[in-house]
Amino acid sequence: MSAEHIIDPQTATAVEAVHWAPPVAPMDMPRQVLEAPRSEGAVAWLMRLLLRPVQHG
Amino acid sequence: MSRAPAPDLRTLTLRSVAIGFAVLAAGAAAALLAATSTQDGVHLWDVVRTALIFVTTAWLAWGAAGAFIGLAARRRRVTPPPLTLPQPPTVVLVPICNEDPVTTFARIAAMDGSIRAAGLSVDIAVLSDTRDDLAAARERDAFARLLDETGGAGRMFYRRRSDNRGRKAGNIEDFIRTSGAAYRFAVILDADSLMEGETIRHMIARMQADPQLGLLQTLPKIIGARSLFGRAMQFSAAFHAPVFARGLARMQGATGPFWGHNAIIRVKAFAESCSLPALEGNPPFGGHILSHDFVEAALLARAGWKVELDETIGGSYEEGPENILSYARRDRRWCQGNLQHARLLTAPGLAPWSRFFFLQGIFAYLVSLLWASFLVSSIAATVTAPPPNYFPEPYQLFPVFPSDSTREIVTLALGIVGLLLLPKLAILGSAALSDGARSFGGRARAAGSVLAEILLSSLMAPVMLMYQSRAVLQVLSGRDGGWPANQRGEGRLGLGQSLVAGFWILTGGAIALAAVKMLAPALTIWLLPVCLPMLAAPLLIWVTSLPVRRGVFTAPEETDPAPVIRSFHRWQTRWSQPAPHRTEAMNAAA
Repeated sequence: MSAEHIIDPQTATAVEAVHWAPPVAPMDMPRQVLEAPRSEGAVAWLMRLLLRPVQHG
Repeated sequence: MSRAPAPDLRTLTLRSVAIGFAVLAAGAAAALLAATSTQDGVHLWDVVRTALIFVTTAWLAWGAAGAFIGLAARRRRVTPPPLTLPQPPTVVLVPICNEDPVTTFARIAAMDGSIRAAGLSVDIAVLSDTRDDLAAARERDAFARLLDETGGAGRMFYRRRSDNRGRKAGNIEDFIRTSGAAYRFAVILDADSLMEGETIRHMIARMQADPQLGLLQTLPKIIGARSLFGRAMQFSAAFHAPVFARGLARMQGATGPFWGHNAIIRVKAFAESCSLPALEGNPPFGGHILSHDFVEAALLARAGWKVELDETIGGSYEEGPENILSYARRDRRWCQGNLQHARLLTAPGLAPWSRFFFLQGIFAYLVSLLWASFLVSSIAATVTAPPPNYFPEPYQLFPVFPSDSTREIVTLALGIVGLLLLPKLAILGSAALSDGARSFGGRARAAGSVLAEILLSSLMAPVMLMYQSRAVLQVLSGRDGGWPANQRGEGRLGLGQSLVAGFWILTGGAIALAAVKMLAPALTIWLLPVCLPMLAAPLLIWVTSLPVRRGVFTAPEETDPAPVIRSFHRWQTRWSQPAPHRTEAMNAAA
């Protein structure tokens, strides 16, 4: 039986108590780069790929 | 620059073998078709269909190679490392969005008991993205009851986001940003996931034992299926999937997959490498990344963390779709998510295998369209073929008849069917020899189930092909499918509902059959295995949604359910009645 038949939302009274919240312990999450800048594009990526062994000497 | 772990020699060899097998099989199929179709000269449609058979056969052979590589059991079992005390702080994350809270929280209550029985101290955080206020009110009442009846205050948490930016990935990210530093490990689940405490203990120990391991993925078994469709999937997930997953794990090496749930992550690794940006532009190709899990696995590998799949870890469960329509709805979202990965193929620093894996995911959906294109081009090639020239030389006395190519075509058809069936039959053979079929009701019943699953999946394949082709065309034409809520539980459909849902496939099948009969009657018999299931689509959708008795597609989790599954059922039964009294939290609120 689903909650729709068991819990009537009109008479549901519980509110989010303070102790319901997860502990506050912030952690940094740096945004990742997934796409080369539009100005570079596929050709620049290909060049980087081809030139990589040269750069590594 | 990529710091992705380099694949070892064994992984590289297996990848080469699989790719080599796929190319060889595709080459053989293309050569057979080219030999028969170019007898009267090389025409455009012949080139098109030869190219298409090369690509589609390569895909089939690639899948078969994965199964063959996974057939051999692991020679040395992974020795479970002991949990090092003090136990690192760990949290189980349960992201939910418009789910049935009674069922979801019954799972949490069962897992909480199992975790404590395993001697662990693990928090559980319910991360709600539910937008509907009435549904959220139900969630709060159900959570208050959960705390009340499990004494979970202080180890069970609930928070609801004010917006659901980034969907599930954004929900997890929001938790890590606000609470991540409190935990070393996080077990990520879905609302329908269930996991044994001992499994969580094992996973924590594995993460402790290998400081470079960023993510460990389990292979969840499907449980609770009732319909014919659901039970076939449940059986397949238990019988075939471990072999396919072992093949995948062997080829992936340390750049393994993440399926978004039933996995443990190292919070620090995830935080430093998995914050996903929204892609430039609008959906379907821009905006938030829908299939975030593949990307997160690739990013962990890019940052130098190992991502591993271990299909031998037991006690990990999920539920599956109960009918073709809910499967197709979920598949539409996955299709859009995988095609969106085309934008990420050139993402800086990814391991080559991660890029290949993206490509593979894209191909999993494109291939339906390619099969459909192959059928259309075969008809076009037949229709546009020039009439046979019996006297190609001037002053020729005797006619030259075109050579009979039935043998080549039958060989090609058998080869393709073989690539489809051999992996499943090989898995059956392996299970029969190793006594692995016992928990599936014995050899005879397992064989019956495998044959029934093959028959059912063959009948459903053209219907699935139509749904996938439609999904691909929708995405390519710029239509955003969004993120519809999962439909769980009872999946029984009415005949009328099935007729409405499948009428477009029935119509497509009728038009295709009529067109072939009119334009290329010789091909009619070859297209019947595709057209007949299409004509029967509404009936298939309806029949496969009906509940069937448990003797069909017997799975081990039914004959001997794990303690956490039994506990979940007890909690679910208990909460199927209204709360007998006002809970502590409700009273506090009042």
